[in-house]
Amino acid sequence: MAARLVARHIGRFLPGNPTVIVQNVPGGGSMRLTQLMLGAEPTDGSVIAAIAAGMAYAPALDPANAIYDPLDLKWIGSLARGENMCVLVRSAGIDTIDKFVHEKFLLGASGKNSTTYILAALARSALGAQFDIITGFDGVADIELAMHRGEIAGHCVASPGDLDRNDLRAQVHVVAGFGSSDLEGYESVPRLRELTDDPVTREAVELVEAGIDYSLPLVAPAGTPPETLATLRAAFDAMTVDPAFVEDAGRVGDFILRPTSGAILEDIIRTNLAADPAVLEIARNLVK
Amino acid sequence: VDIILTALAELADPFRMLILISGVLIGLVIGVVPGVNGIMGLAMLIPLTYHLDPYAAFALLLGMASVTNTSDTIPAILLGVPGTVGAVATVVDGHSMAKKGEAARAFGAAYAASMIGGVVGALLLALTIPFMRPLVLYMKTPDFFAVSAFGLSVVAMLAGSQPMKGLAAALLGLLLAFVGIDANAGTHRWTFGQVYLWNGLPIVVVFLGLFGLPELGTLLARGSIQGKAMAVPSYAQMLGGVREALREWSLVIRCSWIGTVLGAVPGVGVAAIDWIAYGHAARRPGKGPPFGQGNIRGVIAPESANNAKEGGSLIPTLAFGVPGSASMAILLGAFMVQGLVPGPDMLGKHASLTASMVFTIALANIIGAGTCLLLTRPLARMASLPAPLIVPLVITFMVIGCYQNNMSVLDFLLFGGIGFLGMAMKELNWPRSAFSLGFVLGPTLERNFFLAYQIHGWEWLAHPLALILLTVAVAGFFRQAQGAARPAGCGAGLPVCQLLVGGCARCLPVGRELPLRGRHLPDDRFISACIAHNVGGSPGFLAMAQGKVARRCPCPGRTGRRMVANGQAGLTGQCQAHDAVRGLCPPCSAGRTSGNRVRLRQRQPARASLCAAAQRVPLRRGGHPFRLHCL
Repeated sequence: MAARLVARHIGRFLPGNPTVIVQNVPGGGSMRLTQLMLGAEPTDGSVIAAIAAGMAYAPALDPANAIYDPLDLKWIGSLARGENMCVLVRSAGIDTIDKFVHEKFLLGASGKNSTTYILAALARSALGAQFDIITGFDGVADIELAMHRGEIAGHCVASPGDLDRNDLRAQVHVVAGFGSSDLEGYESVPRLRELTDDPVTREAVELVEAGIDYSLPLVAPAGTPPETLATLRAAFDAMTVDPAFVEDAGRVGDFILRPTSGAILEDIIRTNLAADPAVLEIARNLVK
Repeated sequence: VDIILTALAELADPFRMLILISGVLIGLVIGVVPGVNGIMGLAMLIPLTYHLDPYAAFALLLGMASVTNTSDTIPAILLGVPGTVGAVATVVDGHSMAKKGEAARAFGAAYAASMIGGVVGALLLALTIPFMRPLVLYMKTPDFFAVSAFGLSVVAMLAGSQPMKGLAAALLGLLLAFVGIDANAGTHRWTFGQVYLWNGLPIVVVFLGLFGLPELGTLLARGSIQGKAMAVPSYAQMLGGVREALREWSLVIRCSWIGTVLGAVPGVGVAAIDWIAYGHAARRPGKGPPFGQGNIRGVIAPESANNAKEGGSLIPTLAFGVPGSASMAILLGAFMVQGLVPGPDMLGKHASLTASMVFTIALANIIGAGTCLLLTRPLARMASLPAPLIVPLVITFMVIGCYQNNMSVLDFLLFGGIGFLGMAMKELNWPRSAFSLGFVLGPTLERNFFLAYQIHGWEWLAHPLALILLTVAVAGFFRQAQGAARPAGCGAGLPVCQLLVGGCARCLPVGRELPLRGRHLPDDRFISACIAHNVGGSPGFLAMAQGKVARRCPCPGRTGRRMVANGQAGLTGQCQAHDAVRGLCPPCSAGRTSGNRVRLRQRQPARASLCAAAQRVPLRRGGHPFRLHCL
């Protein structure tokens, strides 16, 4: 939906006002698309891709994915900020961070490479919590249905927008938040990084959170000339403040528009990937 | 009543009706093109709904999504190539009918079944609206697993007389369904380092290869779909098909229920629903040719179910925003665009919109089926077109349909590889239907098994609904498998056999399938198997074994007369063989009741299981001696 949103607007901000066509490229949760962008696509600016945010840190956090350098991709910008919180259905009785850490209950997740698992595992490892993570659900809606059925207690990928949209605010307790974004309406919810005492662990937590902090990124293929990249970045920046785009993004409703321009995004990724190897090692262990 | 009247009034607006009809026409076109499905159609249409009001938006989207399973019947019946994965089961009998020059009849029955199925699905949706939330909440993950396992037990029906082959084919399908990254541990299974395989084998490519390519190969060999010149298909034939579907109203209603109920279970897609309905119908084949050889019930059942599914999959979508199918997942985007929140509001302040969805589905099915009926005659004439004209065109669409999945050259390789597998299975008479069911149910079975185990431990087996469904599934499978392995009658629709047995009906109260592969047997062996089976399978068997046949059987000799009257070559010889069985048959050793069951030796011409009374009864027919043995 995000790629289609961009396709409807970005052409107006590019030289020659091209029509943009969306091509679905399924495969490995963006891994195939990422690989295509690293070598198989033209570098003249005619192809850009909307990849998963996790692709920036996948090689650092999982040795199996260490087959490319994320900085080879040309980052155009990202559309949204990750806003994730751990929520538990009220009937489970887990309403404080203390209970969240010490009681046994079940949290739902999709696959082990998904954000649903990574964030739950991060919270469990960083806090030394006792809960179990149930994997295999078919997305967040499926997890929330299992919450309604009483089979699991909650999950760790709820955003303020989701809670409002799905009428969940009155049915759940929000116990912890991730990342550095505002979490509008839930400012008092403790952040995982604040709950972590050990500074090295905290750094590792921040590194993992960075993977979801800048979501819905757009990239150009590796080898795209600087002037072409600059044109694409300028078009992205202009598009994200365009009223028609902002209105359309609000209508899509799948995310809250919080754009980050390409140069800033690239700097953040570079800084995070240059972290101490010990921190990277802890980060890898935190999401196992 | 107010809600219903409001919904009707809103939908009757000329602009919205026009939008609905446009959606239906788009859906019909999408259904006809192999490889292009309703999911793509929804993704393309959603941006068009931004400026429509909710009634018009859902008229367009649901109108489109409701009828792709109506028009996908066209390539399925005519060419043996499913238009969408929801028409794969229709291929089996529908295409066989087209080959016999009965395409118009098959179309008539299919469209009538589609229409009734769609309307029944909409009605069931309407009926469940007041209690859909408790209904959806009642079922837990163990129940979802049990529903899928119950669906898999249908494999015994799909395998007909070859339960072991069916089981093996289903397991092969399951095995291929496991290709990809495992959702639980993130383990790569048979991905061979290919990102292409991470998401598993694409279902469209698998089904187009498994069914489409082998049928096109056969079509080329035949020269045209119906093989020889036949009369131009008429509307009378088509109406005949419609009437047959109406006559089978109870089957249509049952399969509509199957479609709606399973449509509401997340993860059980239309491809699985199709086969489950088909398997249900195969339980009672009724009159006409056997299943797989042009039985009209094999067309009616899946067509009723796949159109009813749309109503069912809306249930969890409306109640909780949990999509019951992939197309519903995309439809959720439309809810967001319209600022709607699935859940209690859909039954409260948006109840008239929900009611309008019910009417949209019902109307779309009526308009879709009506349009297709009008097109039947010209379409059915395609059956007489020469194959060299049709095959390249269809191959082109199939290749495009496959390629648009992943836009990878591996799509072609997989298409060819699965096509080869399909041809081998077809030639060696392995049930592709069983393979398909294993393939489509594999991911759901695995996912729900692991979820149930992780959440409930082994206690999930004690869940009442799961326990009942699993027991029925296991019992049903073994009953069918046993029935197929122990020949006891010819009632499963082997035409010659039925004819022969007809006169001796009172000797054969049990009508079960004769485990012969008629396609591979010359008539004489086939018939002799019927006869020997006839003798061995009757309740008076022991009496016959003791030479009391003449007294017990009320119709001695009549079989022979009928065979001769039928005028088929070699039949007289078979009568004699039959007599020989009765006359020469020594009883099995005392106390060994199991000795009553005999089987032809492997590698001997007939390769079939037979019941007879002898341990060693030498028979000689047509120069092929074979022996019967006690098991």
